[in-house]
Amino acid sequence: MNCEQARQDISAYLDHELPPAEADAVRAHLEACPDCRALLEELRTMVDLVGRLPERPAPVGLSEDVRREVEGHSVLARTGVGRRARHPAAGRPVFLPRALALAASFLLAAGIGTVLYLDATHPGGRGLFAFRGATGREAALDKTRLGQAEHEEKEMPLAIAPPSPARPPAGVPGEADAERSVFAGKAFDVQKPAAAPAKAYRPAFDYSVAAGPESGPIAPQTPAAVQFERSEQPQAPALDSNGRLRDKAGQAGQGASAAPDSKDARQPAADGWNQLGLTPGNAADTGRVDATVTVLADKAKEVQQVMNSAAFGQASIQSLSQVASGGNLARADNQLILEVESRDKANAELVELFRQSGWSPVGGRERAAGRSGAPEATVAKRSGGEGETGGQPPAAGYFFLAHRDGEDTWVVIADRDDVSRFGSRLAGEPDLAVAYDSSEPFVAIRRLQDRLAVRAADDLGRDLGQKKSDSFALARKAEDEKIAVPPAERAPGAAPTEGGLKADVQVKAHREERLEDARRPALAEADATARPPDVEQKDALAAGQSEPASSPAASFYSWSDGTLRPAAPLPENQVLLVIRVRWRPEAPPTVTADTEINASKEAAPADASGAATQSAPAAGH
Amino acid sequence: MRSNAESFDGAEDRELVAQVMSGQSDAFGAIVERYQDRLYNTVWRLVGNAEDARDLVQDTFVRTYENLGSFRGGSSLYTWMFRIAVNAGLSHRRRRKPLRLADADDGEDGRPIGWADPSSVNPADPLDAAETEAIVQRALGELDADQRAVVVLRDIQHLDYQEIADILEVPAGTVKSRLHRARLALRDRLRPLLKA
Repeated sequence: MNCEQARQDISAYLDHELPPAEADAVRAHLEACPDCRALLEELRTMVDLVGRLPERPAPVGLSEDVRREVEGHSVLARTGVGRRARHPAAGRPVFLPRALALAASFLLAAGIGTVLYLDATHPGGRGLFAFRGATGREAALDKTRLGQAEHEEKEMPLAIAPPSPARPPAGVPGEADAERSVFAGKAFDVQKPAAAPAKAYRPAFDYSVAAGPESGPIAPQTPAAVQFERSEQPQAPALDSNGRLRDKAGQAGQGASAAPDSKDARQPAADGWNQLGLTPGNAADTGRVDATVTVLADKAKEVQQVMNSAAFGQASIQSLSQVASGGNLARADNQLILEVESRDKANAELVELFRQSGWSPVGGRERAAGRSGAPEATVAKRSGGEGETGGQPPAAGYFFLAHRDGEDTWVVIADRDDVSRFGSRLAGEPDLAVAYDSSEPFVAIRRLQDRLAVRAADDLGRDLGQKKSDSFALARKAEDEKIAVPPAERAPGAAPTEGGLKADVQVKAHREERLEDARRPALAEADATARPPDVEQKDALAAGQSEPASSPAASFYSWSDGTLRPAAPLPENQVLLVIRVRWRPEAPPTVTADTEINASKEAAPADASGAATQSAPAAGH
Repeated sequence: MRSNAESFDGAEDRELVAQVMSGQSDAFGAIVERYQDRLYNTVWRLVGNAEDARDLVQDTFVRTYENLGSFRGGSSLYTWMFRIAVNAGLSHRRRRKPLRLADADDGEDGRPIGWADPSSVNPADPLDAAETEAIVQRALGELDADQRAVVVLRDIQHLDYQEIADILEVPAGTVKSRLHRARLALRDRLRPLLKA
């Protein structure tokens, strides 16, 4: 065997993939040929190098998104698989028998979260689908403030337990009925008796989102005032006559979006889940413009369309809420998931960031223009095609609060640059750490947040004079892997800390104040580079000081032949941003009396969720 | 070296597929749980970024689910899923220029620092794991798609030649020659690192 022949086989020899006779021949050649031996060693070294690359585990929420996607597609209809599992009235498979779903509803009524209900449907205790999200991975989301997915195995306990919200004894029946009529699509109604366990959210304060410069600062009220009720369906946000996003039931008589008249009931066809039933029907008497929107192909795109049309008075808030709820946004391109401790606070801060960006709530301006004759939840039909209502300048962007199961979903349509600047602002909000992101700018946001957090941890560690905790090391490693901080920037000789749990708790407690100092220079740096030259112009527009010749979104869609159609491709600079807010499940209202019972129930579904549950008391030590 | 491949359990897979086929749709969740990490790691290495890897793996599962009725069990489920995933990864092109948040973490050329340049390695400077990974990942990304696939499946997923051949639907002899060429190309790109 000569060198050329040997080298043809040398990789296979290295991999033990040669038949014995050929392997012997190569071996004999190698013993006699130092050059080929050198090549073998070089390849061996390289293979080892590649083989030692760290594993990239699947990201948080992937299995849940797959579940949603699979549920969302009538896929089994094509293959004939699982027909028995499908409800006859629905276009997608039923993942739970109805009786179990009802039982799950009961459990939810008892204040037990999705995790348990799902697990209860699988007596083996193995919630097969999405419960990884609810167990190991998603319970570990809190940690991702300091780490990356590959470092999720270690818990990062939270020091602060969320407040226990007061809970009314029962829901408001009339409102629940009304919701059912709003989302009367059978698929929604029948399919998600328990899969839409989101409690109606009643923020204890006005978001004061629409009024723009004249709106006062957001003043969250006491968390004790937050009230919850069970609801089977996601709800559209109510906006009051001043365009403020408002607590629906908490403001009697102003929650019209939650109580539309029965004429608005949509009844999609049997497989109409794929078609949002926005059929023209009562457009004439309600002023509502309806459209047929196919959600199947590109759901995020559809949301964007309805978002735009709603923003300019061409579609109802209900239709927007409908299209933006459920799984339709699961695969939106620009997506952030925020894992927060306080839902109220996070939403308030987000709204403040939106306001700073010059964004308005969808429909707020129309209402602010005094169209009191229209139902609260209806965006009045745009008249004449001038694109603006009430003579007000267009907003730099629009946002809308939709609901998904167990989380709040903010949908934003805005200019790319504005979104980028919003990202910079977001990076400076310690309460709004990005737990997951789906596009590079948001990766950058998280990196920045991680770096700030780690620096704060380093500072604290130095103060404590302790050895660096495992968590810190993990976080630092994550940081180092993701970003290359110049050595000069790293805290030289930072004394490590030890005692992971205790130190972590203290870090948690001290992090915010540390961040306050740490974030400023880095943010200034990022912000300075992020702001394009036309920033002043943009800011002026955002502040309503100038007005473009025509609204960019106004011309995107045209209404003809009873159908809303894109008039032209969306401009490149308009993007849909989805921000999903997740929060730690509140303790049941009876927590003081039944702590043990509830704790055991919550710990049952999986180890990780149990660990998360236990982390709060552990943090107190 | 066969840790990944050895953990595949064809019998369990067939059972899960049968459950899904019989209407127990949630059995598909077990399939997802079982393979998501391996598929994601594979696709991540093929495409080099988390965002696209996530999308592609999600698509892979959805497509698997959609086509489960046509799965005959002739090949193992993981081979079938890997085939979908790898083909998706190989035919993948970055769909769009994502939003840019100019960030201090970016390199001077605007490229994220994670994409380190192997040629810039100074053998005298020790590299940490992250730097090494970035360099290797970049070198992988510079290989032809076919070559990248065999390297990822062999040297990262540790599949044997026949399994790789099944996934890529090429003869085992092709895997052998393609892998050798790929390694030589990779070696050329990583030479500074190997010397270091």
